[in-house]
Amino acid sequence: MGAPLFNDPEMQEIFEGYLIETRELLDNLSQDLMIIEKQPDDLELINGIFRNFHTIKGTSSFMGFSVIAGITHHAEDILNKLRRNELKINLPIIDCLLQVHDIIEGSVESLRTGEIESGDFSEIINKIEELKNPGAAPDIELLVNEDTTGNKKDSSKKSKKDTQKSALDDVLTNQELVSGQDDFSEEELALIQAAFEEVNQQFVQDNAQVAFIQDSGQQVSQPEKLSSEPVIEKKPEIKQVEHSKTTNAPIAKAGAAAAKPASETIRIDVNRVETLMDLSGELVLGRNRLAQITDLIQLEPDNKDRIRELSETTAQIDFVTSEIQSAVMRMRMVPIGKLYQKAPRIVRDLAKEFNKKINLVVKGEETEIDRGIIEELNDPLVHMIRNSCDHGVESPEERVKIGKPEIGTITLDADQEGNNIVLRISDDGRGMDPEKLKAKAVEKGIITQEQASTMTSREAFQLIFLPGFSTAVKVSSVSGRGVGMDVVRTNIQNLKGMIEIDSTLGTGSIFIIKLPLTLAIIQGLLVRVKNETYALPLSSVLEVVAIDDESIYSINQQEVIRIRKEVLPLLRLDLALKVKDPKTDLKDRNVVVVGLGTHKIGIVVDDLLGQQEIVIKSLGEYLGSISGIAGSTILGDGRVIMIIDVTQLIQLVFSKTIFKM
Amino acid sequence: MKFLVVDDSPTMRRIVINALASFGFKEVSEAADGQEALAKLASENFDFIITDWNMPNMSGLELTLAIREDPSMKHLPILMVTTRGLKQDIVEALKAKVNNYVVKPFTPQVLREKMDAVLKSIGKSGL
Ligand SMILES: [Mg+2]
Repeated sequence: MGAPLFNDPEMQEIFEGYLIETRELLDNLSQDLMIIEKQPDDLELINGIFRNFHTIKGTSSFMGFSVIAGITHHAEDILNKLRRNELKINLPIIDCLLQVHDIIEGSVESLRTGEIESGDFSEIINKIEELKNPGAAPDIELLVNEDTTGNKKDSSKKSKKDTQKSALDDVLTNQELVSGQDDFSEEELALIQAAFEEVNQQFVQDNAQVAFIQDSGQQVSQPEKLSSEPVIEKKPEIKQVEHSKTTNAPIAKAGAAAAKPASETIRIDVNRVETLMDLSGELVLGRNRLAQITDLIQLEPDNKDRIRELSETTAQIDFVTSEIQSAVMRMRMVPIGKLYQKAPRIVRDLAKEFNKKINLVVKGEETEIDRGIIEELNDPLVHMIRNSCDHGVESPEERVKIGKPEIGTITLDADQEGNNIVLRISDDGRGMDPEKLKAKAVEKGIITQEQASTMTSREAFQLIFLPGFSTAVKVSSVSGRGVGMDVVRTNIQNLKGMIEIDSTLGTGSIFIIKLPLTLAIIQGLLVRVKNETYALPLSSVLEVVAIDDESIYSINQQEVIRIRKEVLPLLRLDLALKVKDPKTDLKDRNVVVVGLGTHKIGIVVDDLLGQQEIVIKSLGEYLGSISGIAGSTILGDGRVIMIIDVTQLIQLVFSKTIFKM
Repeated sequence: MKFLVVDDSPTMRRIVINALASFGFKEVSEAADGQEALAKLASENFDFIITDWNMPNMSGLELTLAIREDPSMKHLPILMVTTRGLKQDIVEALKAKVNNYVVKPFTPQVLREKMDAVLKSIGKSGL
């Protein structure tokens, strides 16, 4: 666990809640700021944006995060003007608000990792001030509410009620007090308090009558005595990393090295927790029943009824266990919309950067996927969107010239197909030319001319995933890192997923990512190699064939198998895993064909033992990572077996053969 | 003394509830907006309402107006918690018959003082 930012556990808990809440508010903001660009007159939306900034300001000021509170205050100011229609929303304002959003996001992120917030934001603050005050920026559309202000000054209510002068009337009618925005002076504060006093007197009178009418039907509980004795103030205590109290501000200058991220907290739907509660109740019932039956069976070992009850109870526990398993899994699931949330902003910024017009369509946001997978998908997704904006969608002029709509479209789509999540990133841009891709790969020495000539279009598209192929990636503010498509593919493979491309020249491209629903549980194909049992992830198994000698031969010392018209490299699992005394002949053995994208190999095993749902456990620290092994699992009979890392094996085979990955 | 704390920010609710707990008030219910507060008020009895101003669906001001119009609830003391220190806002709060207001961020002590002031002013502190 990381060092908490606050000493006081209560404050630390509030802080963790604050992080979750602010994250959500920022997500809302980035969505709403995208929409407001298209619906500038949506007052409801402006109010919502105001409220989100407003809440961030309020809670941040309580937490003592003055940088966030300060900058948010400026955003709030400008939104107040928008709300009151004193200012009309325009692009520079939205840009500014997005920038403020980013600054808050960055600050919150540093707080989360235990750093202090810092930075000089005077530039953006000056910009906001400029936008706020029309005089400084003449090009801003502005609706000054001159009529209202003018009328207010004319309509003096003083004449109406000058007979009974009161603090309340004074506050209600005092123009200076009413229209001003500055901090109150002492006298004004006293006047305001006096006005509240009057309201409260009236309140007491009104309610005295009510009480009389209502009789004593309703019990009003006695308030505890509220005395004016001083209350010990609980100020947020911050862990001092350095020896001295350097400042009064709640945030101490924490050494960055000492700071670690706060433990992660997730929000879970109450219904899901309740389902789990119910299920665990059933599990307890089953366990109790099992204990009972065990006792009874010990007394009468041959009683058939008892044995039947035992198998019934076992079946019930089996059912409940798998229900619990899936319920726990669902707790880790989040809608993929969480991942797509940032896309509108990215597309907006990139369209601006590349001078393109791009519309983003998002579908299937409600599709759920494991939280861990979502986090790992962010960077690949950003890169692919960037790729589509940059290389896919044409410039507006070009599009018009070839008869396409001026505005290009990028579509993000998600869907669950069986035990997989399928994501599609498509664009209606220029598409890819397989011949050009092949030529470039030959030129870069990645493939030979011969390989290029036998390559299908689909295989040619995969070339862009090769390291060193796409070097033209400019490091930009949006992608943040200069990652290439090879990193995208590696990330996806690390998630046990695969990525494929389909493209039609002139019409557009589609990237298809297939991922497992969760990383923790997979369907495994159990195989035997000598005396050992191994599991292969079923998701990567394409087919299983019995070996027949005639289909096996050698190319450049690489054993290959011909299956129908395809020739696949062969990998003997016993050799690869260095099992003792490997068999030399291939008689009576089986080949499991596994694939990753367009790369396929045949894995030679002794026997097939059937399939089973397996829970992946890491190998543990002392074993470290073993080449070719992804992890281990425990079978129903208690045996620990290894899970084969298909990705690694495929890479191993292809690194040795003429085909490079 | 039973409190209803109304705020759309869970963090803010938590801060107010913690302050109340430090004063010894443990009977607290919470609501995330005016509508939720009215629903709570319809099914439970409360002695004191501390409400945020700016909330979705139904603001603290609208909530106050609704409470003041309902004969069965109009006697409830309401303390408005807000970051808005604008003068026109105070006028609106006065018109809606809010019993007092406290500006965020406040210390527990300030909250306590404002609560005391409200109860004293409506004649409940001597009970
Ligand atoms: Mg609020």
